[in-house]
Amino acid sequence: MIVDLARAELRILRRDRSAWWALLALAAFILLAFAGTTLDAARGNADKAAIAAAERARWLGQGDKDPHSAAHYSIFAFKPAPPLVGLDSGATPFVGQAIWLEAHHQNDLLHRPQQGASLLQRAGLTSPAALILGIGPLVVFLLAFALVAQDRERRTMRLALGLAKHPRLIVGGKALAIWIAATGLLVVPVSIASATTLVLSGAFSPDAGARLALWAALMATYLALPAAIGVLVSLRARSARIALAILFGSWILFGLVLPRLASTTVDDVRPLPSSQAVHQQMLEEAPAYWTAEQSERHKRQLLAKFGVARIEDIPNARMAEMDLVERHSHDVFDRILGGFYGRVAAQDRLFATFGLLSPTIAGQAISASLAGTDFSHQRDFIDTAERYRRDLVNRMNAEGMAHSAGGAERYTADVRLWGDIPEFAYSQPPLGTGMRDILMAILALGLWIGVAWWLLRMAARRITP
Amino acid sequence: MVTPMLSLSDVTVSFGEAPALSSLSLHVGEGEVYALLGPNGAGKTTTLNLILGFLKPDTGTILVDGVDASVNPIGARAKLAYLPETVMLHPALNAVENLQYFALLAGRKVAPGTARTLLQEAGLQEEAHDRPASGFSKGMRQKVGVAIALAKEARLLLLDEPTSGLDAGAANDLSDLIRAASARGTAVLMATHDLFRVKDVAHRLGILRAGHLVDERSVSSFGAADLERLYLDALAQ
Repeated sequence: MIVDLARAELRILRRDRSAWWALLALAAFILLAFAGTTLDAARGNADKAAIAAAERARWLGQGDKDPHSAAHYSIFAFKPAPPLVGLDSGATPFVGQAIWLEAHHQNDLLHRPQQGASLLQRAGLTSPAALILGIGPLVVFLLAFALVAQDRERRTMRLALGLAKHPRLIVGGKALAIWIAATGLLVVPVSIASATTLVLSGAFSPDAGARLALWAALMATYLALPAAIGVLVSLRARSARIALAILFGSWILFGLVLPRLASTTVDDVRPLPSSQAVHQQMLEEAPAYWTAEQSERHKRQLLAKFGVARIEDIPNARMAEMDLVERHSHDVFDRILGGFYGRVAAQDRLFATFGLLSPTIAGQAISASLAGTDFSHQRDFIDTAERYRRDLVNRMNAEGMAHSAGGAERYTADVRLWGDIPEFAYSQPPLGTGMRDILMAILALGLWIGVAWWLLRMAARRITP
Repeated sequence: MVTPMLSLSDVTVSFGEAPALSSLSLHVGEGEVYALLGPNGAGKTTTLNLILGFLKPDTGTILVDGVDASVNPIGARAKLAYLPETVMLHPALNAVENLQYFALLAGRKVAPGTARTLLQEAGLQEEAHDRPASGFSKGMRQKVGVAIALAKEARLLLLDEPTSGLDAGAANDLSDLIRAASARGTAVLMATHDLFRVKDVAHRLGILRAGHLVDERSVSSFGAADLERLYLDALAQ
């Protein structure tokens, strides 16, 4: 019965030109945004693959040299765009996509997509998730206004109430129709487009499929919320005009004001040090021989490690010192950068908690996590690249230490060693990465849905013409 | 004695300080057509709103087929079909679709063929069945409303000024429909100003004045002219 009613309500919606065309326009915009972001990502991935191949050739062709010099010669590592970046670009435009991996330094990431973004992209209107989460509720409110508030104003609701077996049928049919229309046009087509793109590009995997299914489910669940709120307000407001004002005001508050307020509050409550300050701290603390005391302590460590009395008795003392310096810097980077990244993650968790105030915030946090474009996924790339860098530098230093070379003498390696180093390859971590950071957002969204559902049930019982 | 399908006992309701209905008691039996007469503001629509459960009485009880409308308005509404003074349909839907939609709300799935038959019975010409309701006259909307009420097969029909704005032919068609419903055992409560229609279809009438039921009697006991005099006298008191 309720499905038949929803079908009838959908027919009414389709014939209400203003609301339906607004929905269609947004649906088209979402598909356009998906196509644009996906094409950008595909072009970016192709460029990254080509440069990575050239980098590999450069690495292999660097000629014979001291392995530690090779560790300085080093290589670029690139982060491929996540398979679902076309659905939600998340933090991707604002974080670097490439990193220079070299001895002694954990460098900053380079090439933020935002640096070359168009005006539209800079306005944040290029991601389907941003459009569904941001503009979606406004269009859903318009549908609710057309289907409920106008019914009341036209007094069609009075006839319906006088005939309905139960007011729940009126409310349920309308809410279901709005939700089906919104989900069917805003979520389903872009999800199908994304699935098709994944398959055609060969990027489909069970993990990507599960992420896509959950992302679509998230968006569908999220849209149920404005559908319920829109129907609720349209039912309870004293007039259609007041309903429209409340709905528009709610959209501004929950979709625009609160997310920005939350972001500002997070910055104030959990401020981050500037990247210059972080780098300055690393510069100050990473060098192992900065002070005479440190130098002496490390010298004793080397003598003990090689079981000799003099530095000159170490087979390749210079390389051994380099290795010690390198390993010392790892601890420093882990402590300083690890702490910094931990603070960024804490910011994300606090922001997700603000989902209790605005479902848009909760939706943003969960969507980016599912699409693999939030900071926890970026952190995974940073950590993977850093592990690769350390393995590479340690391997180069180990090769040097394994060969005697005293004074100004240098041991040199060749392409056989360079070829032993595997190419840098990165694939997205499995679904669930960074789940801890979005737990509050999931809880908040569930709470919002539960409260809206309960209020709608109550409103259905007390509905008046 | 007919079984009361609708029973209002000692119902009083006030809007703020102003009493809208005072100790109203009336009963409508199965197959009975009861006309509630009264000038504007007498309390006719308030009475209908109370029966529909849109308003709660300050005192008294309202039973629709045994269901207390003030305690269980949803259950009471499920027993009746209500036709407002101005039937407002979904303008984007045609007559058949409107009937199917409202019948669904009433818990009945009506096939297009059945919908057309009901519309035909209600007097809506066949060529109007597939036209959007946005272009319907008041009379046409009223006929669709009657067809919707018939589709619900309710045991009580509430009609608010059913002939208001209808031409003579349409009003006559409506009278036929009311008589047919009555013959099937449907109780009908009709709030109206239309004395001619009351004489034509009603079995009993009640006259409301300023929230008081000032007269109640059988219609068959007097002629149309007597009815008009009775009504004017009652209002003049």
